[in-house]
Amino acid sequence: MSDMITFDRLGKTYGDFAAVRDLELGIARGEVFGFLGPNGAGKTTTIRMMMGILVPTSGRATIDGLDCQTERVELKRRVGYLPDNPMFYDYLRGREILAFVGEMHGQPRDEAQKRAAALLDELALNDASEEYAVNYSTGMKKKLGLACALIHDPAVLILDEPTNGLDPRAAREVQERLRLAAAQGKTVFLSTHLLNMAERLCSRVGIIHRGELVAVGALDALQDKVVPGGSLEEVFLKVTQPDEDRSEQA
Amino acid sequence: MTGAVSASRAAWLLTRLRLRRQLNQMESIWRFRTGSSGRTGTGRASSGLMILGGLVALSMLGSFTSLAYQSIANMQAELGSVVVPGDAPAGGDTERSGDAPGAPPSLQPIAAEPGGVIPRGVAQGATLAVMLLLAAALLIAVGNREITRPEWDLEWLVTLPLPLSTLVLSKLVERVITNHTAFLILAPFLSVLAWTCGYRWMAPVLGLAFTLVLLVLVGTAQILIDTGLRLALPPPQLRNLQAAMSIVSMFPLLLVMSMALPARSFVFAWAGALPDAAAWFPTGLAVRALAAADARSLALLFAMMTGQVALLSAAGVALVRWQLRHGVVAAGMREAVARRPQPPRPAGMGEPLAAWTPLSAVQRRELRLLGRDRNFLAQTLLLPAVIVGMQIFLNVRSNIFVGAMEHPANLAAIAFLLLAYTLAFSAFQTLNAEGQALWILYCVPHSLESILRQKTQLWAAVAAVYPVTIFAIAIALAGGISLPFIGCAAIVLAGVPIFAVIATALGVFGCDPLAQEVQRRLRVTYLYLYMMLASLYAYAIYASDVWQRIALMILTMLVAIALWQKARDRFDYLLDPSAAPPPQVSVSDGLIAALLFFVLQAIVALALMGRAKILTANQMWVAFCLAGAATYIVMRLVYWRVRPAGVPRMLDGPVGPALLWGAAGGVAASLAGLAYIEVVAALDLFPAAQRAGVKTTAALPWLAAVAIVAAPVFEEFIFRGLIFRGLERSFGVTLAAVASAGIFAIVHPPVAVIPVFAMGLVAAAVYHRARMLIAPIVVHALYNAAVIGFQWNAMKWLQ
Repeated sequence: MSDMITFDRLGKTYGDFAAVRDLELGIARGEVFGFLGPNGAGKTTTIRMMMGILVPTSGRATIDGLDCQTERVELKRRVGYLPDNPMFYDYLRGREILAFVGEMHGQPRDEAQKRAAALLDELALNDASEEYAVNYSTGMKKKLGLACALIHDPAVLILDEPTNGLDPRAAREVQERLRLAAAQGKTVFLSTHLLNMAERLCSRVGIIHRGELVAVGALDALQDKVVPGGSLEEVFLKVTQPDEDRSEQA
Repeated sequence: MTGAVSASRAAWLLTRLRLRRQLNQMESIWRFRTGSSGRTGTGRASSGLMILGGLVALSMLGSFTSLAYQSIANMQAELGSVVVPGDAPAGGDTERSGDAPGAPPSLQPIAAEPGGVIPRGVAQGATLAVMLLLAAALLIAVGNREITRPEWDLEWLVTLPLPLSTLVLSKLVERVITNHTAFLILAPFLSVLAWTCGYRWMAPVLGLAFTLVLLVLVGTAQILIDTGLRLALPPPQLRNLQAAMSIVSMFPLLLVMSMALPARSFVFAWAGALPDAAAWFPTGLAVRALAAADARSLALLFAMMTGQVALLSAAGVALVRWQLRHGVVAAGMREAVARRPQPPRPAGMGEPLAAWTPLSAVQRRELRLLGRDRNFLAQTLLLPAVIVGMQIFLNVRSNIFVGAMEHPANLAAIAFLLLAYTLAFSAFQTLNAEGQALWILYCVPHSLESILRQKTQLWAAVAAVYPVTIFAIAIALAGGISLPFIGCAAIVLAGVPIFAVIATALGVFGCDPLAQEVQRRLRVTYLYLYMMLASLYAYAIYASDVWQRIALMILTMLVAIALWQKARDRFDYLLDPSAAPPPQVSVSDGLIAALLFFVLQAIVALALMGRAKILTANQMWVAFCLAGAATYIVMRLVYWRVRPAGVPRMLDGPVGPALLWGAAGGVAASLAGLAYIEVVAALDLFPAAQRAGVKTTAALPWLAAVAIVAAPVFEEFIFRGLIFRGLERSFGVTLAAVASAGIFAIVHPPVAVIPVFAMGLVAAAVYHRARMLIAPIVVHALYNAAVIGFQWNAMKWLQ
């Protein structure tokens, strides 16, 4: 079965600085893939290239066989995206923004509103749905962003640091929702630097360091290979050591 | 534990930080030009856009300076002299300096100081003007920022061990340095005033110095208003207030501009009524200083003014400190409070607006935002009416609907002006208005272009309400309709889609989505460019010749298409901080080449004409060839340097088939052209032009040979190679062929328009088939040969 998401020598260079180098990766359908890496490793750049926000300087990324750059419009029907720091319009309520996104995905008005109401209910945003989105706290904004990513029931979810800045309860709610999505057969690509969440949610992880993929594989396989008997944290720390100490990497 | 930092040292450090930031900004621009390394998080404009921005800024400076010059000249005529009947100067008002117009202004002792160099009336007028300009600068500055949030770095700086007054002072310094609009408003006027008072090379320096001091005043007032209002009012009221202020800010500016008009403005009467105390305000002191007769009193008055401003600023800073005594950031102020939450509506009810209108989701959202954001509403709908209303009030002072049918030009111009302003405030903002929420548009299965197109359509429809209403009223009042009226109205209504597209495209250029504070306000340079284009188009309303009107309309349409194409190329890279669209041949290249060609031709023709009044055909052709060759060489050089994609090539592969296509096309076009000549001769449609054309070619046959060799090369390069190619890339073959042939036809004399249009279509088709320039060149050459040969032959036969 062909992969859902593929990176084919994907690269992005800002001037002389290579943010992402020659990324090669394949993610199968229904997989929950964790994209780990230290800050500044290139996670957000990769995700933005997948969403067509940035143009890759080399290589390509495809989702469900569609090129992320040239077949962007068709691709958006199948993908739901949650950015790192979602900003919303002032003067629009959360409910209205969500219904707008639903309508933009082709749903008729009343269906979009029904779905919006249901999602807001599910994510416990009901009380805030009549507020203007600009007044929301960070956690509420993330949840609204997640709702925007889920409203059109996409096959692929791309999430950039989904629990960054959330309090424990909100983080738990988000993780439960993601688990539910995975159980429904969606492919989830999430980037994070929170290792315990990755351990709990992901079936496979990839660790990116300075723009290169330094480790990829299922959790236990990775642990056996790199640090036998060690936790994901130890794997991560070993694999993302600064350059001078990178002599004996697996 | 380090010691405490003194207040003055803290102030110095903060100022140094601000200056370093400015320096880094300029450095990043410089480094971009010479190729940079390193990752940048800040957006960059392409060098082409920066050159354009620089040119526009220069022309803005020029027009403000000429405005200032005109106002002061008017002041001198109106307030600085009296009309003397006969010989004796009129008795009576010795208050105002009396001299016959044309005589130099007299010296007039002013109170207890040594003499000045301008009459008292002029000084009063200048003081009033400076006061109005200051008020305008302040109101515009206040309206320019998001007033409901404190500046983003205020929260951070407050955590440093700084006394509050130092913080406020550094904010003041920053405001003074970065207030470019106020600078542009004040500096030209003060410099021209200094120049009028006799300073020559010192005039700009003095103007700058005085502007800086007065800007401190503006900055203080701005901080006071910003902070005080922010802490006192809830955000919704603030927004309303800001909307009101942006409307009111137009008045002082328009009043000052009215001083520059030829008609006597009532503002001059106000100048006379200015109280004496006004001479002791900083503005009055500035004018008196510039008008001082010797350097000592200049220095003295300047020092007095600076002292006053320093005092006022200190008082302002103290007041701001008192305002901020409870904390710098007002806690708990709710943004944009919604109405009381309503009980959840049953699903399916939706909004009433959505029920019956065929608007798309994006358009409905825009309308909803328009309804809720008072500032936006006021700027989009009210401000244009205010601006134009004021201008009518100041200039025309009469009923604009009178005589609308016989002389519709003025009414049509007013309608067009309203349209242009409304679009400037709405369509310009299509990308800006997304602000930081632009990412949402990247998540939906619609291209950014289609979304912006929908927004443009909406704003075009909204803006069209004004001209349509005006025309309806005019028709109703006149009770009938006339042909000239229909012509003018058609031009204005055709301008609706054209300028909606231009406004959106320019708005995309002026928007930097990666900026810290995405400005919801207008970028002044692009607004100015937009206004220049609008005034060019308005010329079409006043043109008497139908062909001129059509030519201008088609030209503006092409400019709109070129701008939209450039904007479209930029969409992929909007959120990318370091990449720019790869260079490609676009329609704008063709337009620039055509413009260059015409300008060079005019210059060379003028040079050759020398003292003679008329241009011989000989000189005309020489100018043509020189201009054509120069344009061709310049464009080829630029393309060789930049290497964009899609450069038109002369030869590109097997020549044989291309020549065949060219020959076939040439024959077809020639036959059509000859048939047209026969028809025109038989029906005698263009008698005068025909005879003129025949005379030219009969006199100089060898130049006609040049027309067969030189003209096709240059013209095909520009119109088929650049314009057709550029259009084809984005808009498809048919539209490209029609548009390029249309613009090609429009630059020929009316008698030749139709056959040249047909030839243009054929040439475009041939070029599309053969993909090398030699083919349409052959078409063009054959056509020219056939037409000229036929006419020459006919002439000889007649002789």
